[in-house]
Amino acid sequence: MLLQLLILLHLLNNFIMKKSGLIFIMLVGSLLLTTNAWTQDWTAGDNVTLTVQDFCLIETNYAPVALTLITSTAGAAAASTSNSDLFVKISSIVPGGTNREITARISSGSVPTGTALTLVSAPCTTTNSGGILGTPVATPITLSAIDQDLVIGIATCYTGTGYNDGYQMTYTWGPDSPSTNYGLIESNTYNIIVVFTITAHDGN
Amino acid sequence: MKNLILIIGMVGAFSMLTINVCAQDSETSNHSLDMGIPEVCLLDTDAGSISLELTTTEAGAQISGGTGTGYAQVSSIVSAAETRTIEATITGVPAGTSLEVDTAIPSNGNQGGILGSGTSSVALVNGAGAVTLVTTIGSCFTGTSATDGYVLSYTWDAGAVGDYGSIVATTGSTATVVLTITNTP
Amino acid sequence: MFVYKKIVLLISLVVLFFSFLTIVPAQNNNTAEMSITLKIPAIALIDFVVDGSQMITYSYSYSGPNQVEQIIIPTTGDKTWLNYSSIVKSGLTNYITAHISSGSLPADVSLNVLIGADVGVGAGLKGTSIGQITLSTFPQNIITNIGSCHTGRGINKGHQLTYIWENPDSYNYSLNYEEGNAIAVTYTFTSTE
Repeated sequence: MLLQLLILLHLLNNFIMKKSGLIFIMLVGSLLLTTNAWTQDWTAGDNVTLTVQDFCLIETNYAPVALTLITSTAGAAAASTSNSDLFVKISSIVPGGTNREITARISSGSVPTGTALTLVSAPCTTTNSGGILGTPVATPITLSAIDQDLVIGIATCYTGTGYNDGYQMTYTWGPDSPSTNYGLIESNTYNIIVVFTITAHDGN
Repeated sequence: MKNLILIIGMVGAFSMLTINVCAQDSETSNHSLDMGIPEVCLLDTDAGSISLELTTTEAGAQISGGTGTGYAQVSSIVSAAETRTIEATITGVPAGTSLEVDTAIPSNGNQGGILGSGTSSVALVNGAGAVTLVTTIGSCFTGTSATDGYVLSYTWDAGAVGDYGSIVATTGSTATVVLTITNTP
Repeated sequence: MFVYKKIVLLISLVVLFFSFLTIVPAQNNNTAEMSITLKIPAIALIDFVVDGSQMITYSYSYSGPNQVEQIIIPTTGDKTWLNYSSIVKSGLTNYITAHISSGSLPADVSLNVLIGADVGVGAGLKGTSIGQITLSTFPQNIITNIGSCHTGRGINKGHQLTYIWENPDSYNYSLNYEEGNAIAVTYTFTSTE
C-alpha cells in the first residue's frame, strides 16, 4: 500500500506536469479495490448488530386550502363548504406492539365566531403505501387549540410520497348553530394554522 | 492500518449518532388555512301573489278590509360594526286609497342571526321617498320557503276623507313595492 | 433515549402564505319587487233606517243589496234616512230610483216623498237630490250623479226622506195592511255601467 501511495504521488506530479491522467485513475481504482478487500476481511467473523431505531416523519403535500363561506340565495344561511386537497404523509417505525396517532390542533389564529371548522381523515391511500396505516377517527373533529385524534392505531408504515399519497384530509367549514349564533358572523378574511402531529408511540 | 480502523470506527459511531438524532418520537407538520367570509346582501320576495280587495257589504259604510301578507327573504353577512336597513318605495296605489305595512321580523324557526327591528303602520305612498321597514340588520338569514322571511302585512283602506270621491272601481290594478336592503349610513 | 417524548425534534414547517386575500366578490342582490294586486269592486249598496224613538210601524225587505223596500204608513213622516255606499268605475255615476212596489192608493190619494240633501256625514261624491216627487209604480230618479262615496250608517246620515200624503183620510191603512195591500216603496240603487 505504501508503494501504491508513492506511485500515486509520483504520478500526481506527472499529472500536474500535464502528463496522461489515465494511469492516475487506474491507480485510484486499485487503491479502492484494496480497501474493499481489506474491509471484507475485517467484517468476516465479527458479530454484526443490526439496529432499527424507531422514528417517524410527517409531511403534507402543501396543498393550499382556502375556504369561503357564502350563499347566493336570499334567505338562505351561508352553506357549509369543504376542501379535501390536503394529504398528510408519514413514515413510521415503532417497537412491536406499540402505536402512534395523528392529531391536529389550531396553533395560530382562531375559527371565526359563529362558525365551526371540522376535520376528518380518510384512510391512507393504497397506491404507494405499506404497513399498518391505522384507522381514521370516523367522526369529524371540531378543530380547537387542543390536539384531537384524526388517525389512530398507526404502527410501522409508510404512506408514499406522491402529491396525492397519504391520508386525505377534509376540512368542512360552516355556520355553527346558526339559529342562535349566526349574528356573530362577520365578513372578513381569516388565516389560521393547523398543526398535524404524529405522536410518540405509546410504548414509550 | 490501525489509523484506518480508527477512522472506520469513528465513521460508524458518527453514523449511529446520526440515526439517533434522526429518530423521532413525535413530529408535526403545520398547515395554513385561509378562510374568507365575503359580505353578503341578498333580498328576495316569495312568489306568492298578494291580492287585496277593498269593499263593504253595508250600505253607508266606507270600503275597507284590504289586508294581505308578503314575505321578504334576506341573507346578510356584515363586517364588524355594520348594520343594514330595508327600505320600500311603491307605485300603483289607486287614487283615494291608502296602503300601510307592518313589518315583523321572522319568527317561524327557520331564521337565525341578527334580524333587526321591524316597524308598524308605515304608509306607502306613490312617488314618496323610501320609507324604512327594518333597521339594524346584522348577519342573518330568514329561510327560503314561501312563508319564510320578514312578514309584511299590508293594510289597504280608503284614504283621506276628502279623497274618497276619487276612488274608482278596478278589477285588478297592480301596485309594485320595491324593497331595498342597504348598509345603514 | 429521550425523556420528553413529546418534544418536537424536527419540525417541518410549512406555512403557506397567500399573497392575496381570497375574498370573492361580495354577493349583492339588494332589491326585490313585491307585486300587489289591488281590487276595488264596484258597489251600490243601499239601506234605510228609521228613527226608532217614534212609534212607527215599518218593515222592509231586501230584494238585493242594491234594493230595499219600505212599508209606508201615514205616520211614517220624516223619520227615514237613506244610507248608501257607492264605488263607481272611472267616469261613471250611479243613481237611485223609487217606486211603489206593493199596494195601491185610492184615486184621490197621492203619496209624495221629499228627498233631502245629503247631510254631509261620510265622504266622497254623494248624489244630488231631485227634491220632491209623487210616487208611482214606475221608478223615478230621486238621487242622481252618485260617485264613489259613503253616507255613513244610521239616522241623521245620508238623505232624509219625508213622506207627504195628500188626502190621507181616504186611505184606510189598517184595512189595507190586514189584506196585505200596504203601500210599499222600493228604492233601487242602479249603476250606469
